[in-house]
Amino acid sequence: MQKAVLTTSKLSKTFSNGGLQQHVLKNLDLQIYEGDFTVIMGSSGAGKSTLLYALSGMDKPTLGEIHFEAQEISKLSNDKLAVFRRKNCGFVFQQIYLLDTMSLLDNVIASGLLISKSKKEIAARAKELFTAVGLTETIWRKFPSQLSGGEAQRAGIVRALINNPRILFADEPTGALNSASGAAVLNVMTEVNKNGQSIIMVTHDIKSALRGNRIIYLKDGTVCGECNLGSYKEEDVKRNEVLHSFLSEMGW
Amino acid sequence: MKKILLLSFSNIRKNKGQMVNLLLVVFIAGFLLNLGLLLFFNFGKFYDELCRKTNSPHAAFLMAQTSAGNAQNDYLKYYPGVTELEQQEVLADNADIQYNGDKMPGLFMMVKASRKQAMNPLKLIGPSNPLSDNSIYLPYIMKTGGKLKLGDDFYVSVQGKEYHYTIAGFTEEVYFGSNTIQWYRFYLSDKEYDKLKESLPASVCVLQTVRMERPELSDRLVKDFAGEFYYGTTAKNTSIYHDSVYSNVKTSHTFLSGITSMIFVALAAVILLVSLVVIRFRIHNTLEESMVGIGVLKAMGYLSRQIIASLVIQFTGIAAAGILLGTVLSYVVLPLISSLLESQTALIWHQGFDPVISGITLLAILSVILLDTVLTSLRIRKMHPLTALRGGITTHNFRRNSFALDSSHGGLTVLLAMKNIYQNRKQTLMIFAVITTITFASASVLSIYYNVGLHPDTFAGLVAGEVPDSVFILKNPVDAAGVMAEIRQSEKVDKAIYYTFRSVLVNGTEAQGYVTDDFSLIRGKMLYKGRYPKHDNEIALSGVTAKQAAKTIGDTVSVNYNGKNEEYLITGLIQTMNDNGNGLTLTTKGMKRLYPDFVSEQIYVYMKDVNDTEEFIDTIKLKSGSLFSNTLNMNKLIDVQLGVYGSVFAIITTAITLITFFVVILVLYLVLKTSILRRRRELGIQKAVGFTSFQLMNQIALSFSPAIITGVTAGCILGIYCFNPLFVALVQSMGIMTASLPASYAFTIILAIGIIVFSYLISLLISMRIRKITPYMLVSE
Repeated sequence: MQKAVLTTSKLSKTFSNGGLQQHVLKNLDLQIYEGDFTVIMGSSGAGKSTLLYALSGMDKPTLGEIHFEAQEISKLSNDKLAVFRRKNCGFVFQQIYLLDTMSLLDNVIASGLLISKSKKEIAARAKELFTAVGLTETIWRKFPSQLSGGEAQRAGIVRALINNPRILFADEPTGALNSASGAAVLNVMTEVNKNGQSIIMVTHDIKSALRGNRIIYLKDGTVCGECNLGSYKEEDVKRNEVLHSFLSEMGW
Repeated sequence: MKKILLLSFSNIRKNKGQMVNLLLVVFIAGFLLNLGLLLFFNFGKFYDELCRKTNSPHAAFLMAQTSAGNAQNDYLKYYPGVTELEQQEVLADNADIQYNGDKMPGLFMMVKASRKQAMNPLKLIGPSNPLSDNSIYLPYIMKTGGKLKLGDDFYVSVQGKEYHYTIAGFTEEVYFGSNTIQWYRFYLSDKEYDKLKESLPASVCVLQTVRMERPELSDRLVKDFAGEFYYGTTAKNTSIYHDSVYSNVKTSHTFLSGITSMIFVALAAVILLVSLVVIRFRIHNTLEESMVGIGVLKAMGYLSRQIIASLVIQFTGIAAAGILLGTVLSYVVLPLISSLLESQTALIWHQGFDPVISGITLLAILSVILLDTVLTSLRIRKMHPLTALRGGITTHNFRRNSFALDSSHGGLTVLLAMKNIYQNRKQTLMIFAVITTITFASASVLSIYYNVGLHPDTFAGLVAGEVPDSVFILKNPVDAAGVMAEIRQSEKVDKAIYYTFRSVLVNGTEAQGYVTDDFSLIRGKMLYKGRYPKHDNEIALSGVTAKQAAKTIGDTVSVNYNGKNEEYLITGLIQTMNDNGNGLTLTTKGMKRLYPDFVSEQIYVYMKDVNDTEEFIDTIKLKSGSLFSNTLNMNKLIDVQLGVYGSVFAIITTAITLITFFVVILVLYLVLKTSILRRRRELGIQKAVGFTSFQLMNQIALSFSPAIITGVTAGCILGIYCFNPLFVALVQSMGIMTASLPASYAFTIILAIGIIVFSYLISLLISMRIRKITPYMLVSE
């Protein structure tokens, strides 16, 4: 039986805007399992990103609970959430969000030093990860503005992985990239998942979704359905068909 | 124009916080400048006007009745420019006068209250009682500076005898009521006057007061009169002769207001400088933040000059509002300043609105800000609309990765703070410049207060020349040698010298001559260039006297005393604040060339332990008290006399220190707020990856610390090494050419630590808005 790392119970998120209330997540009960590559899909406004950021401790739910293993995280203070994130979460954003004022290596080390005191160890791990995602030493020393989107996003993944997070959260990681760069980023993610890294990814893109083994479909703030694709294999036609049929069932 | 105004108002709305900040900085500059200028230009005018209204004298001459005759009266009466002459009998003598809880030496003048006076007639200020037996009216300075009250006991000690009176009121004394000239006029009932006259027959004198067509003519009159009746005849070493001239009396009343106004104006200049730096910073940021907007406006067809005009209107409009508010506040605060100065000036000054001064304040600040705004925003002209639309990016930016985290030493927060500093070099430089300037101003004012208010010995030396621990003034100089031998026998005495003053004429100008045997024995630092005279043909002139005589070191100068002229070689330049800066030093032998019978009547004593002074004076007085016309405990005297300056400076210094800290808050608020807004996205990312709010607050506060610490250090070093030149610049017009006042290291260090700790805490406090930045904003915005 798979171990649940994240469990939500009656998770709700409501946004207020000028007296108008928008219920984005409604009484959501969900479990995320260790080692899974979970993909969250749904139409625009379904609450995918809201769920992702609530699960990662970037935002707090309005009602309900989120447990990271035994720890209740939805009631933690902002600073405790920050400490929780640095220890347990890695983030890959659609807009990449590297710090423009630092080289790629410094971007990664700045995150790493939040956990480790040894600069040497962190720098060595960063270099190892950079090599693993296909970024050469000349690129590590560059600033984000001097890179292509794909290079920058791969650096973003390195930053996300530097602290060995329990879960890697990815919000449309290929959304701003061309298809070749997108594929390179997805390959990296698939590879790290194979090595046991839990991933939760929000995406609109079927090619990206195919990389996951579990698809959760959201509609109007609730889980509308989910399907298991099994482990990713290249050119797997059956997975493709299962996903397409699931999505058409969900009204995609 | 409508379009430009629209742009300006939209900019102001968008940056309300920063605009309020700028308004406050300019507000302080306007407040201080208007206050300083009102004091500088109007206090002196007010004194002139008061003299005119009260028909006060322009010159006064006091001499023993035995020396006064028709010749003097006629001389004054027919002197060109004299419009009014008044002569009256008074009782006058040198005395110890009760003042500020102690006794102070001064020249008192007792007058019959019943006698009509044309010049500065008797006018009581505040509540009073009719004069009765044993009661007295005192000049208003005795209330404000002397801390005496209606009904208090008051005494003067003349020729070893104390005369006690009850205070019945205080008079408006425009001419004889200054605690620096120390020539006071007291009013007695007829009965009391006659009683005192009987007791002090040698003190019966004649006071002649004169008004002239213009007050400044009195300088010449006093010189000519003294030359005719004092220097021209046999030297009356021990007889009473005093004169005073309008310019000296006016300076004595306006000295404190003058120096205060200088401090205010200098500080206003510092704050204005700060506001210019702040404006430049704001404009640069506005241009960076609104780069795309400017591109859009240019693409729409707006001209560069229209966009520049909108910025100019925005900043000058805010500045004008700030100056006007500051000016209004200065009028509100002015009565407080006036009452503060009253303790030294003894003048009740009510200043109404002065459109000229306030106009100058407005125009001066506004024109500087206008120029700064125009010059800073000129770069808009060079912005191509397309480049602006791309956010100003014209080419790739191959920056250096400063403080690489993998190879630099130090903790994460510190290294990130260092990166911040490097990336915001201009901003760091701005903070450094602002902090240096205001720390320098504040440290200088603190050191001035330290020297004037707390440890006035050196300052007193500047004001009074040589300051020993005690002074013995002999009635008859013939007794001096005996007393000197007796003093030198005491084990408590370190050294004792003859030191005395004589008024002489240098190229026709009156100057105070300081005479002693050997100038290497004196403690004061009057000399600022060359050397003191050593031989009988040598002289050191004050800077003012040398300038007036158009002489310098190496020249010879003619000195007249007792109707005799002698030539001397100038060996050095000295400084003095007495006699409008006119002074000179001569050796005793040098003085004897002018007057062979010259014998000093004053002995200056320097103690081994200053605490023994009082006891030592009492011991000497017990043995030889009858020989002295006066004995002075100089340290006590300085405490009493400069105590007034000290309390005024304490308040001014406190106000200036508070202003310094307020400016620190304003500048840090502006820079930090701008910095946080600009780095909002970056801070969000850092929060997302796990930085806590405090880590980021600390990182931001630390990134300003090097600029603040180096700025404070530079300001303090400047304060320690350059406050003397600053002080000299403030008082140069009063005869001070150089000063070597000791800086207050303790105050400077306390100020430095205060600013650094305060800045760090304020930075943390202002950075608390980081707590509101959530990583979720990154994706939701």
